[in-house]
Amino acid sequence: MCFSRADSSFAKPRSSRPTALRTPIENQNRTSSLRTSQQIPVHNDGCPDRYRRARTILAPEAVQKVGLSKIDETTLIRVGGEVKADVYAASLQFPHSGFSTIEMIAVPCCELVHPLFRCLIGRDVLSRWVFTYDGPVGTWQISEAAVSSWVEPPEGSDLWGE
Amino acid sequence: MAADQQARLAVELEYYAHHKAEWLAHKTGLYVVVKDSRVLGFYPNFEAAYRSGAAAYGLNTDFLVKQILEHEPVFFVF
Repeated sequence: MCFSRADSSFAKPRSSRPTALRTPIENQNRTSSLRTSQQIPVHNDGCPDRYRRARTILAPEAVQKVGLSKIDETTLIRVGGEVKADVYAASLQFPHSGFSTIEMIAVPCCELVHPLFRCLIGRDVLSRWVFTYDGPVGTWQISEAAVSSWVEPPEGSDLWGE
Repeated sequence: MAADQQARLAVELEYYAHHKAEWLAHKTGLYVVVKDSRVLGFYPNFEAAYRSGAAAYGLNTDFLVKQILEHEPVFFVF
């Protein structure tokens, strides 16, 4: 995934081609032992309205590198306690996946658990996809009905635009 | 939050805090855009608010985009 200023991608064309990203965590050849499925709708997790579990988080290094504009401040509760966090406007892209670019999103910034993690995807992003986790097999899959056109990245560039 | 980051939007956040009670009466739930001590406008969603702010002030400038709510939301990061 990569991110940029929320600017030039406001009007990207979208196709109706469905796409999916499957990520095997363990043995791909194993099959699920589940023969029937039961869906349990979860609409209310019991939290007061003030407490939300929706936001995608960016690490400070990522914000600094892209030079995002600050638009607000907020409060985050994470392991270790409550922290004040800056909020930035960003555009999220998902190279090599075919998923739609999120043209404009508000993302708080705080230190993440590992230096290699630069973004933690929250429900504000997941709510745009169907996320399926197969526990017995140890795989997950995300899919999206409408995706933006795939554009090959420039030669030599990686996910961080370097 | 680093001290230099805290200074960014300090004027706008103070302006918001000063006017919050007044705005809660008639504009609860709307998004307000503030730059320095000037209100650009009130908008029904984040996207409309940010678009207006970016059009007015550009993309390289900080400006406040804040939803007017009685209790400031708190977000979990797990």
